[in-house]
Amino acid sequence: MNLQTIVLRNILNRKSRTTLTVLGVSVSIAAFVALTGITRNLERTLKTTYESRGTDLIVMEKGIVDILSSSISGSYLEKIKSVPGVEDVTPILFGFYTFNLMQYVLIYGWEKGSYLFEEIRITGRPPQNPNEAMVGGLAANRLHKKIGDEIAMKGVKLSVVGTFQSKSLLEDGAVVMLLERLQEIRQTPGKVTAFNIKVRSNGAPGNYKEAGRAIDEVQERIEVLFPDLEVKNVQTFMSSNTPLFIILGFTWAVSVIAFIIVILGIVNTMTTSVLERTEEIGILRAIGWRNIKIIYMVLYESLIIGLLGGIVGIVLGYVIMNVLASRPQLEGFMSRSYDWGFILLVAGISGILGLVSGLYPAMKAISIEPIRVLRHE
Amino acid sequence: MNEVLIETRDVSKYYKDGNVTALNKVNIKVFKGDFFGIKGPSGSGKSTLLHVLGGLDTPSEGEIYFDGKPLAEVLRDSGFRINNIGFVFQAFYLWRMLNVLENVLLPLVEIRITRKEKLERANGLLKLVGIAHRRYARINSLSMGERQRVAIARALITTPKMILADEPTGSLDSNNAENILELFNRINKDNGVTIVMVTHEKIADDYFSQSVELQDGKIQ
Repeated sequence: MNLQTIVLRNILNRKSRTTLTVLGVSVSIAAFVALTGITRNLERTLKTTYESRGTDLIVMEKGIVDILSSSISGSYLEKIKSVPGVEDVTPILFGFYTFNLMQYVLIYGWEKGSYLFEEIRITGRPPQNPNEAMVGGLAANRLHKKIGDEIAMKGVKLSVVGTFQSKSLLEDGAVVMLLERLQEIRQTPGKVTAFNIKVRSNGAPGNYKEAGRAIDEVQERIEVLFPDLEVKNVQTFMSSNTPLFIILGFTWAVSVIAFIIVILGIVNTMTTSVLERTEEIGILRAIGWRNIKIIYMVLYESLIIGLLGGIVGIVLGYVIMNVLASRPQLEGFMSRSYDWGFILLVAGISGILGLVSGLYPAMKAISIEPIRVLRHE
Repeated sequence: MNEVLIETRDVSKYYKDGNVTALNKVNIKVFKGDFFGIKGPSGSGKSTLLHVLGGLDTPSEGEIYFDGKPLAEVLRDSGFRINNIGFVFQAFYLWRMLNVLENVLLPLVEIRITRKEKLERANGLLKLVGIAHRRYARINSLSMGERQRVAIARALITTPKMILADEPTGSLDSNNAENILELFNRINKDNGVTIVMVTHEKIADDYFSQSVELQDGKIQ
C-alpha cells in the first residue's frame, strides 16, 4: 500500500470521468501532434532537399517572401561561378503544376550536367533533350508513369526516359526536365527561380567551423557583387521561409489553445474529484497525512491523466497525420516517419500540463480542514 | 507517580464571534496509560474537547500541553500527529475503495518502513482486533462492529502514544458496543496506549481509570 496504489484506485474508481477527461486531453494533444508534426515534416522535407545535395547557399530574387515567386536572370550564372570560393553553381527553375484537380506535382527545370543529377539513383537515364523528362519514384506512382510513357504539360508532350529515387521527399514527388524546356513552357526565357551554390571548403572533411566560415565568406562576396540578389544559407533560408513561418505561427496558436483546453479539462476533473473527496481528504489530514503528501496525491493523479491523454493523443495525432499524408494534396510533401524525439517531447509536455493542472486542485485539497468534516458527524 | 501525557489549562472554545461557548475553562490531566472518559449529553462540548486535544481545532483561550510541551508548538512538526495520536470516529471514516488491510495501512503511507514491516504490523493489529480473517474484504461487506475494529486497527498502526476516540460505540448495538469497549480496554491495559474516549455509554464507566462529565462546556 503506497501513494501510487491510492492514486490508481482513485482513478479506477472514477472510470467514466477519467476516461472522458483522458479523451478530452487526447483530442487536444492529437491536434498539437498532427499540426506540429505536419509543420516539422514540411520543414524537414524542405531542408533535406538542399542538404542532401550539398547545397550551401541559395541565391534568389531580393525582397520576395516566397521562393516560388522568385524570378531572376539566368545570366548571373557565369558571374556567380567566377566568385572566389564557389565550387559549383546550378540554376534551377521550379513550380507546381496540376495534372488533375487533386494532384499537385512539383516540376523542376535543371541544367544539363548540373550537380543536382548526382546523388540521386536514376533508373534509365536523365533527360538529354528538351522532349525528355525523368520522374521521381513517388511522382511515378502518383501519375502512373513509367519509362517509355509520355507526360503532357500545357500541350507539350515529354517522353519519360528515366525514373529516380531521391533522399528528398520533395524531389521524389517531382518531375525533372531540362531548364530551357521548362522556361519555354512557362514562357519565361532566360529566367530561373534560384541558383544553388556549393562552396569550396578548404578545411578537413568534418571541420564544420571552417566550412561555415567559407560559406559566410562566399555569401558576403556575392552580396557585395550582386546587391540586387538575395543570398541565404540553408539554415537562414529555412528560418526565413515565410509560408513555413506562417504555418508555424498558426500551429503554435492552435497548440496554445489546445493546451489551455487540456489544462481546463484536467483542472475541472481534479477539482471536482477533490471536492467529492472532501471527507476522505479531511480524514487523511486528521490521521496525520502531511500537506505535501496530499499535494503529491493530487499531482500524481493529474500527471497520470495528462500522460494517459498524451499517449492516446500521440497515437491519434499520428493516425490523423498518416491519413493527411495519404491525401493526394499532401502526398509528396510529408513522410510517414515517426520522430521519437518529438513523441517524447509531446509525452513530456502532456505530463507537465497534467502537473500544472493539478496545482489548483492540490491547493484546494490542502485547504480542507479536518474539523469541517468532523463537525458534520 | 504517573506522568501527565496531555493537560488542558483553562481551555475555552467560542463559536460565532463568541456568542456560543463550546468549552468553558476546561482543566483536565490525562496521565500516561490512562483510559480517560469524557461524558456528557449531546452538545455539551465533548467532541470539541477531543478535537482540541488532538490539535484538529484550536482553543479560543487557555493552553494545552502534550508531554510537557505546548501543543501549539509540537503541532508545528508536521509529523507530530501521525507519530503520537490515533483517531477513532463514530462514523469510522474508512475508504470504501480500499479493502480492510489497505485501510489499516493508510496512515503508513506517511511512515518510512519496509513493506514487509508494514504488512507485519497491519496483520498483527487485524489479529488483535479480531478481524484478520476479513483482511481482503471490501468495507461495504463489513458489519458496523467490524468496521469500527478496522478503524481501531488503523488508529493503532502508527503505534501512537494516545488514541482519541469520539463516540466509537455510537453506531453500534449494545453487544458490539461492549465488545469494542472491551477491545479498547485490552489495548489500554496490554499495549499501554493512553485512551481518551468520548462516550454516552454508561457501561464504559467500568473501564475508565478517570473521567469527566461536561455540561454546557463546563466540567461538572
